[in-house]
Amino acid sequence: MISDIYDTTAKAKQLYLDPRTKIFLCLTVSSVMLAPSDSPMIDAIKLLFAILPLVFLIVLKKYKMALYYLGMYVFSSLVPKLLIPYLPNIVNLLFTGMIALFTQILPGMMMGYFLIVSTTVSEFVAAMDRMHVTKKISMPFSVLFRFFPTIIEEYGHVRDAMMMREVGSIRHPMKMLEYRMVPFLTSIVSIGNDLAASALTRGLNAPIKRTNVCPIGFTWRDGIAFFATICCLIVYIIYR
Amino acid sequence: MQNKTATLNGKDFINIGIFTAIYMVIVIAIACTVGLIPIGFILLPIILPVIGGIPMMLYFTKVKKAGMLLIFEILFGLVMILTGMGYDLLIWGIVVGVICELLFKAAKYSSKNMAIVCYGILSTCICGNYIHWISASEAWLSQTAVTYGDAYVNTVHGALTTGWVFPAMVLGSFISGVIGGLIGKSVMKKHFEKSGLV
Repeated sequence: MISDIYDTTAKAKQLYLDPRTKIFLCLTVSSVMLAPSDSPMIDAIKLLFAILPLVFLIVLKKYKMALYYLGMYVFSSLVPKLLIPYLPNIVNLLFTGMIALFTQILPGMMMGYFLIVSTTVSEFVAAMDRMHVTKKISMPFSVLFRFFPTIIEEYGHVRDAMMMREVGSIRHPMKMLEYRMVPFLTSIVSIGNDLAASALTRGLNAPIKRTNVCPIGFTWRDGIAFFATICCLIVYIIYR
Repeated sequence: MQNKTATLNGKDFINIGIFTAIYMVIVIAIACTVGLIPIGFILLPIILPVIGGIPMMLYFTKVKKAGMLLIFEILFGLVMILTGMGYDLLIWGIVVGVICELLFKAAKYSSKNMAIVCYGILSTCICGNYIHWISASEAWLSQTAVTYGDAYVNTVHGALTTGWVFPAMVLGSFISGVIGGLIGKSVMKKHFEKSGLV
């Protein structure tokens, strides 16, 4: 996953979709899944949208994640239905009922994962520029994406060092928090300063418009995706 | 290094990005471990602010211009939308962000106590994730009333929708935000100020 995020060349243009289409799909799936449903038509659309990330993950060859998603989804949609009548109310309230609600949130999460995995940082910035997102939002956003792998890596280093010296085990959570967070933050802040310096030398503060080498643009595939999604949305609005 | 102009420059944007990323990683890491247990899922807004306190207090020392807290909240909301949590958090985040901007500006971006209060207020926006759970569960309950019987539905309904759970969640996240802020403040004093990082 780390190499996918770092990669700045669009290899095979995964799924051949424009980043904006992916964002649109992502938003549609998460907002439709969260909406309440009471007719069978909407349930059908929800099922369709739940299958969508699964298909995408399989196309992207993320079989492990696809299997995990399938397992979680089946578990959270079937188990509560089977268990609820046999368990006492208080257990249902705290556990089973909550699991049932996971079905609504999982597809959205998987769409987000798919979006991050299949889009490079450059493409993302290019897409945001095309959508006329202000620099105030797009710049921190690209830093954010760029920093996720770095943070995980740095945290791993700090954790290894602390485990080697047996400082702050899980039995002392406050100590653990302090002795992991402080070195971690120190290194992150210095990395951030380096990044700021390098970005400033490359003209981050320049008032002119930034250019981008990433070829993004709508093709017929995006047209199909948009058409299908909008059809689903119209059906959804009619039957609501 | 401190730039005296009032507008945000590249370095500020990078700081916003870095600290949002740290906060997001903490949120995701905890949500994926504690949040998988349903009861832990409800307690998330109370656990998260305590752990996020240290990086956020460091972030507050870097906030010297208007807009940094608001952009932080907007980014947080956008990432939450992309990870499928709905748009409630973004709206909540913008409201809370504006409040914090005004409060922290009134304290001239230097008061540590005000930073703690602001962090407490910022922490409440995590509860925004639960708004749709409450509205969705209402519809979900009316569906399930037929299948599971009225007794179960009334129990869940009483706890989730009508009652004190959501306000308690907001209040709890505020209090734990203040606790996290205090921890962050003492850690800052112990480590970062000595080492000259701040």
